[in-house]
Amino acid sequence: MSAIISGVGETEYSKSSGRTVLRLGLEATIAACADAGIDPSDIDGVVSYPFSISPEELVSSLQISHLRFSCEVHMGGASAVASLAHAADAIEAGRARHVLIVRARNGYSGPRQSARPSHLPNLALRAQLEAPYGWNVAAQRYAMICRRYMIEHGLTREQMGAVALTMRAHARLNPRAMMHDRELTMEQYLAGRTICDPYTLFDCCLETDGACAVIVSAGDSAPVGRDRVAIRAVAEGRPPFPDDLTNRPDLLEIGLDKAAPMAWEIAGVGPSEMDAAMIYDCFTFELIHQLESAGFAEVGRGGELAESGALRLGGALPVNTHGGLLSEGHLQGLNHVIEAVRQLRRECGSRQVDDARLIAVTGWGDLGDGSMAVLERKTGVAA
Amino acid sequence: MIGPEPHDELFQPYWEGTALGELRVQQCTVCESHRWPPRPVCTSCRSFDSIWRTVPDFGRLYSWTRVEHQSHPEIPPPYTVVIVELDTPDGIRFVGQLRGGDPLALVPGQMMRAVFEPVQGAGYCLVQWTPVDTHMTDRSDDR
Repeated sequence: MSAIISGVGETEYSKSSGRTVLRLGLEATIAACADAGIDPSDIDGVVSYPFSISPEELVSSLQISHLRFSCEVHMGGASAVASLAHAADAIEAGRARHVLIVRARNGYSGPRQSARPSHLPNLALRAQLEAPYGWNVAAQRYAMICRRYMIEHGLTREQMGAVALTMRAHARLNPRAMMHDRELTMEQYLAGRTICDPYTLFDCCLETDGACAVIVSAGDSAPVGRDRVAIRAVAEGRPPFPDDLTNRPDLLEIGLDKAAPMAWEIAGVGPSEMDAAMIYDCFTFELIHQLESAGFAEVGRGGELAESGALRLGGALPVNTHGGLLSEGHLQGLNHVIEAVRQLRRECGSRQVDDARLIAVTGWGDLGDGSMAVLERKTGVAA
Repeated sequence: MIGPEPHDELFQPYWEGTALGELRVQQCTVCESHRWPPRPVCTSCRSFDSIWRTVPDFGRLYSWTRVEHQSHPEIPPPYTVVIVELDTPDGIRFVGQLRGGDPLALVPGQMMRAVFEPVQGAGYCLVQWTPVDTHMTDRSDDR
């Protein structure tokens, strides 16, 4: 693949943006374009997110003269990473030169998840068989998976807490993180109130007001000699019966089980060669689950890996150096792509992973859809 | 039509069964595999022909979560959502709420039986689940 991530940008992440979703998205987009060294009207491709900012609003607002490519990816939180494939493919086909991916939300100040319209597949099934029993939000669905994992493999609260603490420790080094100024100890984690067991307060991702944006560009658009962040591989996958958790034969089977091996094969590298990983941490356990699924830990051993400190900066596999969805903010995983880019550019200051060259980024969405990208730092070469 | 709103034709035979205290699921007329939830097509052989069959109303606890933070405007916590797997050949599972028993002492694989709770004035029942060795004093249908 010859596509690069040429620009990234975001707003502040807060509990109350005081602006509309469209305004937030435009701010992030304009910042990403400036970072890429392009004018917003140079955007000629968009990979959008359902029920959010439409390509048409972007064309009008930014005076894009010819949007030559657009598509929409509907995989929940797995969409951001999966979108990189569509952007890269469009560029490779000559269909576009600068493709925008943007996420914008008033996730904290706006309606909470239980009050938002659902975008899950098979809404009839949700209404008929799940909602009447009070099983109607993501935390409850994924808690059911976590419990099944505990039954089959065992997992302690301290192991889940190790994930939460790692995310918080990283956020403390990230001025943008919503939890930058908030310490989290194991004592506090264990005292967190139950949301839906086994998930307690600190097992759950944040809600965030804010926006972030990524520009994927043709490789030859980068200035000659400048280091670049290349998209080395992207893949997506769905678990069996992706519209239904209850009757999935193995509740622990997830889309990443298919996406990760495909991404590794395309990339020609494996988990042991990653300098860092950005894992979609909607909940603490799901980070552990995906570490195993992607091959960073043996099945059943992810909790031990978290407890060992290996996932911390300075450890064998730093994970979510920005603090993740758990402690930076919830921008549906596009913020994980951005942190990977900044690490590969060596822009992360006190949270920089030394000599970062290869970083894997995962996505997780809906009822276990998955995606994974491998991003690579490429040193500047002649065009 | 009956059942939770918005009503759905595909689920009608199921809700009609609950009104009679029966669990009913689709069975493919060609390959005879049972399936749940109802779907237009057989996921084993792709036939569009199916009938509805009554299945045993007991099974084993597969997973659960105890909800303490309210997510549904009409269902105040705490309550425990369970997934129960029937002994049918095709491993069908149902979601419901726990009735009776101790939510903090659930054991994976423990035997559970369906409890049909009439929804007032609506003509169908919600299907909840109780541990088999629990004796409930307020069951409306005693077996």
